[in-house]
Amino acid sequence: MFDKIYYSLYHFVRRRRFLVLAIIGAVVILSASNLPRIKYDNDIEAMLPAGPEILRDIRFLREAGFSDKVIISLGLTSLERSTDELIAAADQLAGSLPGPLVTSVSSGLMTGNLREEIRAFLKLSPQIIPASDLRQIDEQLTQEGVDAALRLNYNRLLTPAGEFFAPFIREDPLGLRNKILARLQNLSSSVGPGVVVEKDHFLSSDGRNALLVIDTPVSVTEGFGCRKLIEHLKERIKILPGYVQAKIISGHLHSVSNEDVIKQDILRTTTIATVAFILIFLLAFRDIRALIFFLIPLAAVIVSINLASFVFPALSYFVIGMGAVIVGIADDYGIHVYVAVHTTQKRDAVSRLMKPLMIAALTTTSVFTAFFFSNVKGYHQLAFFASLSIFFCLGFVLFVLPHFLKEGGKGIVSPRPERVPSVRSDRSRIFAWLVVLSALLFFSTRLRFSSDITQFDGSRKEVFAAEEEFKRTWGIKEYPAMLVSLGKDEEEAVELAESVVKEVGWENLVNFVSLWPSAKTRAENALAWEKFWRQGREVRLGMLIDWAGAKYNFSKDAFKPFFDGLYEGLNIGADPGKFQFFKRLKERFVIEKPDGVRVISFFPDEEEYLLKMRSVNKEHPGAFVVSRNSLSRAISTAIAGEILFLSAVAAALILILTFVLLKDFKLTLISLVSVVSAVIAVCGIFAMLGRPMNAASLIASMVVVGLCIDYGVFMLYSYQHALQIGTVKAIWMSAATTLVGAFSLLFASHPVLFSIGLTLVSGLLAGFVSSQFILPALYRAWVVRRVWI
Amino acid sequence: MKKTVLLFILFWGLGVSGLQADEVKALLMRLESKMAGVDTIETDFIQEKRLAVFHQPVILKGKIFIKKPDFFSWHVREPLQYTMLIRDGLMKQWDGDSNQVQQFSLSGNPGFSMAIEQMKVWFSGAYSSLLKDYRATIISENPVVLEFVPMESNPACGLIRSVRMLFEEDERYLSGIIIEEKSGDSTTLKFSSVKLNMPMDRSAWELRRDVR
Repeated sequence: MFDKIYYSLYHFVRRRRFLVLAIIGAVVILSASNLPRIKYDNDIEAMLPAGPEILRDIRFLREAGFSDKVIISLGLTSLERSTDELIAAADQLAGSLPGPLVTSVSSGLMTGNLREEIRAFLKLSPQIIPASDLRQIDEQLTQEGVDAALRLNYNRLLTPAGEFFAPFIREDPLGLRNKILARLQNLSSSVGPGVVVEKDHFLSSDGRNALLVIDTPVSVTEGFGCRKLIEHLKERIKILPGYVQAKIISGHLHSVSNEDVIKQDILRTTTIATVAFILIFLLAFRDIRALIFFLIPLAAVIVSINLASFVFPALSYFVIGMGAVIVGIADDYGIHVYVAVHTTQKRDAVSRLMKPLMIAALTTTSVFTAFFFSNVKGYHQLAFFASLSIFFCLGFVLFVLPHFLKEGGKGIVSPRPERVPSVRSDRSRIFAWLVVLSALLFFSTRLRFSSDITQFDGSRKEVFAAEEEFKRTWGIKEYPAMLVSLGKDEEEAVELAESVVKEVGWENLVNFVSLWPSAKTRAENALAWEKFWRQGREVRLGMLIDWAGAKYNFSKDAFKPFFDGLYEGLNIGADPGKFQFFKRLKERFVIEKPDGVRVISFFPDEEEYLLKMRSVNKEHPGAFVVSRNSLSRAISTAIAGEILFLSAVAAALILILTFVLLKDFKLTLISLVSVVSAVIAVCGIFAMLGRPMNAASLIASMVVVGLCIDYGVFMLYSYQHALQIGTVKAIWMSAATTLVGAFSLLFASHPVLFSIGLTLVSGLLAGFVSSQFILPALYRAWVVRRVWI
Repeated sequence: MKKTVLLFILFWGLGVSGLQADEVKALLMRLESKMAGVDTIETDFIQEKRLAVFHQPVILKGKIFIKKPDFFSWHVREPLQYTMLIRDGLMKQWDGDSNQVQQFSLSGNPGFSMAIEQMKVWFSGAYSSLLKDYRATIISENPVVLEFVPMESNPACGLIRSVRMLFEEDERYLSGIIIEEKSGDSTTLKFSSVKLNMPMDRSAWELRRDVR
C-alpha cells in the first residue's frame, strides 16, 4: 500500500513537474526575501530547562532588575588629574544619559547632606536598637563605664576632625548608636567591597575610579533594544575628557556581543561549508547539476525558518546556527538518489531507495523529534526546524528530483563491482577497530562535564577583559548569593526576613532588616527602650555624666541633646523614606512587585553558607535562596537529566525504526556498531583534548547517533537486498558533505557552535569509518558466516 | 525715577561684586604661585578649641609636617599625646592615653575624610580650587586675611559658617586659621616657627610620642 501511494504521487508530480518546480521555486524565493523580517533572539534562557525552581530563580533575577542594570566604570588615566575632576566628568556624563533608553542614573547615594540625614535617622534608634541590647547598655551605666565613654569622647574631640564628631558625641555620649552606624557602613559598602561613598559619589578607595549605576527599561533579552542602548551609551561616553576612560559593564553588552559573534560565525561557517560543498560536488560528480544537492537542503532550511517563525515568536540564533549542519545532513538524500539513478541508468532506481531513505530520514528526525518531549522551548524550535527541513528535502528528492535527472552520465557513477576483502583483512580491521576504541574508551574515563552556563556566553574577549578589570578595580571576587523573603506586603516580607536572619545570625548576612526592622519589632524595641530609661536609669546616667563630665572639662549642657532626644524616636509611624540615603539603600534590598514584596539579604555564594541558608529556608516556605553557582549547577543537572531522557526516547525510536526496516535482530545489532563507535569517539576525543563536554555537545551527540545509524542502515540494507545502486559511494559522498557542514563549525568563535562542531566531526568520522570498514566485516563474519580460521 | 535708582543700585552692586570676585581670584592666584614653590612645611601650632561641649576652651600644642602632595602628620604634645599620619589615603593614629594605634582608610570613613580633606586644602595652598565650593572675601590685604564661606552645594555648608585664613607678611605661608561653625563652636590655629622646604626628620612620619 505504501508503494502504491508512493508511485501514484511520483507519477502525479511527473506529469506536472515543471509546474511543481515553479511553485517550489516561488515559495523558496518568497521565503528567502522574508528572512530579514523574521524576529531572531539570542536569549540563552530559551535553551535552558524550565524546572520550577530554576524558572523561579531566573525570573527573580530578571524581575529584580539585577541583570538589567548597566554599570559604567570611570577611571582616571592621568596621574595628574584629581578625584574632583573625575567626579565632575562623572556628573557631566550622568546628566547627559537620561532619555527613553535610560530612566535614571545613580552616581552615589545622592543625598545633599549625608551627615545631617544620618544624624536625623539615628534619632530613631530607640526603635532600631534591639530590646536584647538593653542589658549591655545597663552594664555600661556604672562609674567605670561612663568614665571610659567620656574619656574616649574627650580624646576624639581633641583630634583634628574632633569638631565633626561633636554633634554625634553630644547626642550619644555612650556610643549606643555605634552598632547602627556600623550596619549602615556595612550596607553602604555592600555595593562592592572596594566601593566607598565619598563626596556623595561611588568611588574606589584610591579615588581614581567612579561608578555610575544606570536603570534602563531595556531587558537584556531584547536584542535590538540592547544594541540601541549600547550605542547610546557609547555615543554619550564620547563627551568625557581625554583623561577619563569609561568601561560599560552590563548584560546588554553580552547580548550584543553574542549576537555579533553568532552572526559572524553563521556567515563564516556558511561560506566555508558552501565553498567546500560546491568543490566536493563539482570535483566528485563532475556535473554542474550536482549543485542541486546543496541547493535542495539550503532551500528546505530557508522555507523551514519561515514556517518556524509562524509557530515561534522569535527564533533562536543557536537553532539557526545549526542550519549548516542540517544542510549537511539533508543533502545525503539527494546524493543517494543521484548516485542510484546514474549507477543503474534508470530513474526508477529511486523506488528501490525509497524505503532506506524513508527510514534514514525517520531515524534522523526521530532524534530531533525526541526534542519535542523536552520542556526546553529552544529544543522545540530545533525539533520543528530540523524535522521540517529534512522532510522537505526527502519529499523533493523522492518526488521531484528524479524527473530532472538524466539517465546515464559519467563521473562518480562508474559502476565497479566492490572487491570483497579477505578474512584476514576483516580480522585485522576488527582488531584495529577494537584497539582504537579501547584507547578512546580509556581516555573517556577522564571526560569532564562542564556545568557552567557562562560557557555558552560567546561574547568577545574585550567584554570579559573589561569585567575582569572592573572586578579588580572594585574588589569584587564573587557575586553574592541572595536570600529572598517574599510577602504580600512590605511588613510581611520584612517580618519573614527578620525571623530568617535571626535564625541564621546577623553576621552571616548583609541585610536591611537590621537597619530598619519590621513595625512589630520596632514597636517592641521602642516600648522596651522607654521602660528601660524611665525606670530611674535616665536620672542615674545624668548623675554619672555630671560626675565624669567635670573630670574631662565637659560643660554642664554638653550632653543635653542626648537627654532631650531620649524619647524622641519612639514614634513607629516615622518614615525614614524621606532620607535620600535610606531610600537609595532600600532600593537595593526591598523590591516591590504587583504580586508582593521581596526583601533581599546577601551572603557569600559558598557551599558552607548555602547549606545553612537552605536548612533555614525549609522552615520558612516564603523564603528562598537564589545563588548563581547553585543555579548553574541546577541547570546543568536538569540538562543532564533532560538529555538522558531524550537520548532514551531517541534510542528507542532509532532501534524500532531500524528493526522495522531490516527486520533482523542480528542486522539491527550490527547497525549499532557505527553508533557505539561514534559515541566512544566523541567522549574520547573531548577527553584527549582536555575539553569538557556540555549540554550543546550532548545534543550534537544525539544528532551524531541519528546520522551514524543511517550509514549502518544503508550499508546493511544494501547488502541484505543486493541493491547494486552505488550505496558505498553514496555514503562516502554524503558523509563527506555532512562532515564539511560540521567541519565548518570548527571555525566558529562561539563556544556553543564550536563544541557542536567538534562533537559532529569526531562522532561522524568514527561512525562513518566504522560503517565502511567494520560493519561489512562483521556482516560477513556473523551474517554470511564466512569461516575465520 | 525709583526704577532708575533701583537699576543703578543693582548694576553698581553687580559691578562691585564682579570687581571683588576678580580681585579675590587675582589674590588667590598670587598666593598660590607664592606657595607653589613650597614642597615641605614644618610648623609649631597652638590650637584653641571653643566648643559648646567643653566647659573651658581647650588649648592644644603640637607640630604639623606636610610634604606635598600626600604626606601629612599632626603631632599633639599637650594636653594629651596624640599623633595622626596620613599617607596615600591611609590614616594611622596613636594616643598616649590608650597607647593604641588605629589604622583605617580615609575613604572608608566619609565624615572623618571630609574634615581631613578640608584641612589639607587649607594647608596645601591650592586656594583657587576652593572657589567652586566657597565664596571668598578679602578682609585685609596687608597682611592678607581671607574669609571663605561654604556655598550651599558644599557638604561642609551644614557645619561651617566661615573659615578665615591669615597669611604671613611675605605671603609664603599661613600665620593662622579661624574656623567658625554654625553651631557656635570655633577653632583657632596659630602657626609659629614655620620652616619651608627644609629637610625633615624621619620621626615626622612615625607614630611616636616624643616629637618636639
